Amino acid sequence: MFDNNYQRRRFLKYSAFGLVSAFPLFAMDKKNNPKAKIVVIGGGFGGASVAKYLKKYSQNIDVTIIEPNHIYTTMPKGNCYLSDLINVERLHQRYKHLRQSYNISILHDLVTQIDTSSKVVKTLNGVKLPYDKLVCATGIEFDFDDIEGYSKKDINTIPHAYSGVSQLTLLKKKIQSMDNGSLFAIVAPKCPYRCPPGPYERASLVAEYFKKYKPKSKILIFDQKDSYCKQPLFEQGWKSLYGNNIERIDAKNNTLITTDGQKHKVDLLNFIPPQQATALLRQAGLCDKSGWAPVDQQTFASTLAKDLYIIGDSSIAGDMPKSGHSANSQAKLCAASIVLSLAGQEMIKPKIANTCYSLVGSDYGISVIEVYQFDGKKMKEITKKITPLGKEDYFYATEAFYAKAWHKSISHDIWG
Amino acid sequence: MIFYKVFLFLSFLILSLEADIKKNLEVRVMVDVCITCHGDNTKGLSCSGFPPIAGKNKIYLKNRMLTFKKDEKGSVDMHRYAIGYSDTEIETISDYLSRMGEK
Repeated sequence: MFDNNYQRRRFLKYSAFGLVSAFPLFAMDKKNNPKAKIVVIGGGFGGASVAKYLKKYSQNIDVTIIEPNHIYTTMPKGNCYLSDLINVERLHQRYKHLRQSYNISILHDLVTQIDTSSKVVKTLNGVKLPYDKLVCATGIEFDFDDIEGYSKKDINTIPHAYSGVSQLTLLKKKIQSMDNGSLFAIVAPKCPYRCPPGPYERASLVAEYFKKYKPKSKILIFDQKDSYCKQPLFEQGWKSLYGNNIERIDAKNNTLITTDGQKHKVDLLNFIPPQQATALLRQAGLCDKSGWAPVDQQTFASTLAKDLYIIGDSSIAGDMPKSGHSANSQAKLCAASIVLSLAGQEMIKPKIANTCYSLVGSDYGISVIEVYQFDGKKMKEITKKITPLGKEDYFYATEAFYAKAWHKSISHDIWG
Repeated sequence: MIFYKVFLFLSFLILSLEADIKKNLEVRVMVDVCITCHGDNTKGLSCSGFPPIAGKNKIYLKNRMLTFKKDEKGSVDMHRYAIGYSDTEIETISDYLSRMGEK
């Protein structure tokens, strides 16, 4: 009898605990209760994804994206535009569908300050927006302080073309106006940086453009790294498609590159500077000494501010690279984490993935596919496999088809 | 006594509801990683060329994934995804996918 009563009391205790811990769920479901206000800074691969999936995972939240551009231009596939394979419209994404079908508010403005103590973001146009949860998906900025003889104002003569469509268009015009037989050089950044295969895909597709229109022109890649992503596959592709027209030069010992012939004389220079998280995040005290934002990699919640999440390129995300697909995967996990956190629930550890397709030529694709899971400390790589070497041409043509399909489908998943 | 039983029943319902939401979102996020390329409806995304998977038969999806996991013959790309998941995870994902999309 005693045992029975004891059991009952225990049951009662746990049941009461159940009711209390489940309370936020019911509170959220009440119609009169105000909806949680989620603000998302940035409408790119991470920001637009997290907004959409927050709305997919919960009906009881208000989501606002703050993004300066009315039309977003994807940097993935930007090298295809650069080398004249596609029109710029193919990179354009709009927010109409997110607004109309998902009831997400879009504020076209620039966030100038995050006040993490009063939980308010301030914009250039003077809007002060309070938040219950904030997601920062602000991408990258360049670190110009580190390079002698090069500053922000030089990007008009020496474009980076690694962020924003105007830079991409500028470099494209400069490439198109080059003489046949001239030398184009790309300076690849040190790690970590956005889109690890990006500079090498760029060299590949510009080489294809040269092969068609300026067959005597050549490409140099200056690189401080010992090796780079998918290197054997790029080199295999370059050999078969472009002979010796792409050369990679070790630039570890402060190589001087000039346009008037000191050590390396080049006709057009594409300098991709070292990168860091945006000033907005650094000024709000959300980054560490590395210049990037530390997060709890299970949820992507900032370790330096409460109710604030950082996804995509700005975050320190364990084994995950800074890529559009990573940002999209992190956004889904982050959206689920926010919904669970609002409901007072335990966090989850789903497997997420990244895929990076690169074009070595318009019909020659290669890729890396990785699966990740939080291991208690960091987002750990479970498996990673790149496209095999030494296959027939049709094999790489299929990968090129997938590369193009990927851009269409992920864009649809995010903005469609 | 009736009150006590009702109370117990309600409490268990709430506890299991909580557990369901957590488990549900864990599977949902894994499924939504597939959705990135394949689309979330039974028609897929015809412009992309990746086949639809939502609403397909569970056994079919599971067997396809287990076949992909064995070697690269079926699809080099799907092989590289499939090796990242346990057979149980494949079963859970297939089950969820089979119940998605309008039938």
